[in-house]
Amino acid sequence: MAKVSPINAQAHANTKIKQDPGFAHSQGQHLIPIVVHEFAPASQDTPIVFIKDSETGRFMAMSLVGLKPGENVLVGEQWKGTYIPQVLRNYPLVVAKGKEEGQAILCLHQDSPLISETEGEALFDENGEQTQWCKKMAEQVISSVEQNQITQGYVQYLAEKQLIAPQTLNMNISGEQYSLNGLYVINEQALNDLADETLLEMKKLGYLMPTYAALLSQQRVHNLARIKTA
Amino acid sequence: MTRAINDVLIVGGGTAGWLSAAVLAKQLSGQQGINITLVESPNVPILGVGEGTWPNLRATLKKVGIDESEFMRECDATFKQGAEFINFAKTPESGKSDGYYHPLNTVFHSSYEFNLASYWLLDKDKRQQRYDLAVATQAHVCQSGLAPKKITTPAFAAVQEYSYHLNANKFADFLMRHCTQKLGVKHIKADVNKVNLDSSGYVESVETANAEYPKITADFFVDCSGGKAIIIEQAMDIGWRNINDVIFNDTAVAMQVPYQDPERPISSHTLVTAQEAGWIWDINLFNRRGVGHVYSSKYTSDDRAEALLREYIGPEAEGLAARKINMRLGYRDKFWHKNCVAIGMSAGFVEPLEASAIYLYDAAANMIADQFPRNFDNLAYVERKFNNNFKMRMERTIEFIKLHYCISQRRDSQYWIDNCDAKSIPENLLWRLEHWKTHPPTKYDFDFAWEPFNLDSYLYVLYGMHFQTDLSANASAFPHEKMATRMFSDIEKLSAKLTRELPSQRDLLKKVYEFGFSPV
Repeated sequence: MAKVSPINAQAHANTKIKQDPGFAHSQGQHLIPIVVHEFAPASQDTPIVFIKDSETGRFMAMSLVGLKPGENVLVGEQWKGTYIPQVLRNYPLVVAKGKEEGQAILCLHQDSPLISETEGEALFDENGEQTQWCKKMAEQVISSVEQNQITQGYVQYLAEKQLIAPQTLNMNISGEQYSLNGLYVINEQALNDLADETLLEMKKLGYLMPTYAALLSQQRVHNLARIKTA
Repeated sequence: MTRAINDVLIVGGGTAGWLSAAVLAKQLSGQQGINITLVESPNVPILGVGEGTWPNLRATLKKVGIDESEFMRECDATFKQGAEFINFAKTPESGKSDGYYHPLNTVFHSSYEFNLASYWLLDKDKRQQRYDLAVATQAHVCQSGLAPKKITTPAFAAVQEYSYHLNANKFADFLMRHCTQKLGVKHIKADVNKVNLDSSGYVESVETANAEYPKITADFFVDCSGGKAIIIEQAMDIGWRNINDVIFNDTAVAMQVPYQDPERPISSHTLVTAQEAGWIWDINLFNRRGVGHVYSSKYTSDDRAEALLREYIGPEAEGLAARKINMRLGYRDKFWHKNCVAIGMSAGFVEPLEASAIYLYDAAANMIADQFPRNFDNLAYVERKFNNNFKMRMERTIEFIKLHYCISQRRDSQYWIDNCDAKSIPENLLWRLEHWKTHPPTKYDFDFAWEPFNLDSYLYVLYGMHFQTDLSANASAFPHEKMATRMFSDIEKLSAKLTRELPSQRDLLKKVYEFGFSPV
């Protein structure tokens, strides 16, 4: 597990954060966690899938960025998608839960190659105050936490209504066979068979758009194949 | 026009009563005009010792719309993958025990398709390994104390077949809430003190001590009143067949033992240990064990039985109360008579050795719901079908339970000597055993689709008990050695994979209680 430590004015007085337009730190991840608010833009590039957390059995929403475990076809000198998931943009900043209920602490992935003393955006100014950039990032990271909770509720709802079903992804690209297990996708049939009152409930909850976005995004697997072979 | 059947009254609210109510209400409530009412005594506590179940309960809970994780949490339930029978085959020598598993699995080994038993019998090397461990991945999973699934496995789905250990009192209460809150069952708390029959002997109504419901009429009655058998025996006078000449155990002494170590491993099978005049069950729930000694009052005393139970439990038994339960073994001449059917102890009881009681309630309730007669003209046919079916189930259950005793090599007490006396063994079982001395059991030994114990179960018990089947004169009838060798090797590999990947029972339970299973 990557080490994270809370940021503070003393320890990080000279710390700067570099930008990496290629998001190389996500190399080796074929799944990138996303929040429901990102379904519309993310669905333009990649399939949106769900996986179960092996510790809790709960579903998580993911952008599928590779065709085999450990492969991310969007990483490059420049990110090869039109949309960059929030979790990548937040990196190396992250929020950890504090000891008190509801407390959130802004932390840093200590081992990140984006941390520098010479290049990039400073976290603190010469007076030991958080920079504008740092404040903006903090807001963004904290809002991701809230969006994560909303996403949890949404995904749980999909599971309860049995709107997601397991799907093995099989592809043959230039004679090579690819197979990915443990993925779940929106079940079109179940969605079509929904009772009127459930459909109305989903409309009121704002769940229809992301659900259809996720359904349509299944076609984007061809987009990944195209980028991979380009 | 013939009289319609619209109102169903269930008398008695233990596990049998509420399980019947749930199955009938779920399946029949969609049909116009059917109303299910359950009347139970506010004064008589339910027996509440049945803590072991079969996988059919899992299917029933799913069918009646119960959330598996909620059920498990509220009933302190744990996963059950079978039972381990210890010291049944041989008189235990000090410090040594002899045992075998009877796993629930037919997922990875079904003798119905390809019977490995013959190849195990013929292969001297393979016979060095116990039969259960040679043919069943689940025996290895049980031995390692692992759960039958993972937190990522959907609700009610299995990696290895499973049922539950549960707190029977909490289960009855949980079912009651599900029935009344979700399935529209009407619940009346009243002591039934009179049953009225009409001139043709059909039940017309019951009278109660509750002033609000002095008389409850219905078209169809389910007698779940336990040993009292208020309708089927007290009012209808249907006879009872004793089976004491075959199954000797008639008494139990039970204790609840809380876990002193909160991280104590939770067994995912029932431990069953033979004693000089009976056997001890050991069931691990989430928060405590249920431990009890089932024995024959003819062969031992209550004091001796309790002393053996305390000795088995050890220091943890100190200061804990023991509860004595008298068991009436046998079954009705008829379970269904006119417009009344008995389910539960009122219908019959063999003994708890293979935890068949709740299975029989569940099977009965499902069969009634599937064939529910909507008018009085339909009653006679279903009555006959039901009675034939359940007579067969009782007989086969008795035979299978007797098998655990009658092929033992134990001769350390009169109890075991008498249990192995041919005079106490049902004829059908004697006949089978004679045949199995030179042939392995096969699917052709099982006549009915509804046999409660299948071929796999017989094989586990026979060869777990070191039953001798001599195939030497017939070895050429089993030419598929290569296939058998491959299957043994597959089972070994799969067992290793499962024991590597499955979580411990306690670890999984903590997650189930906290997060729950997903429905997909």
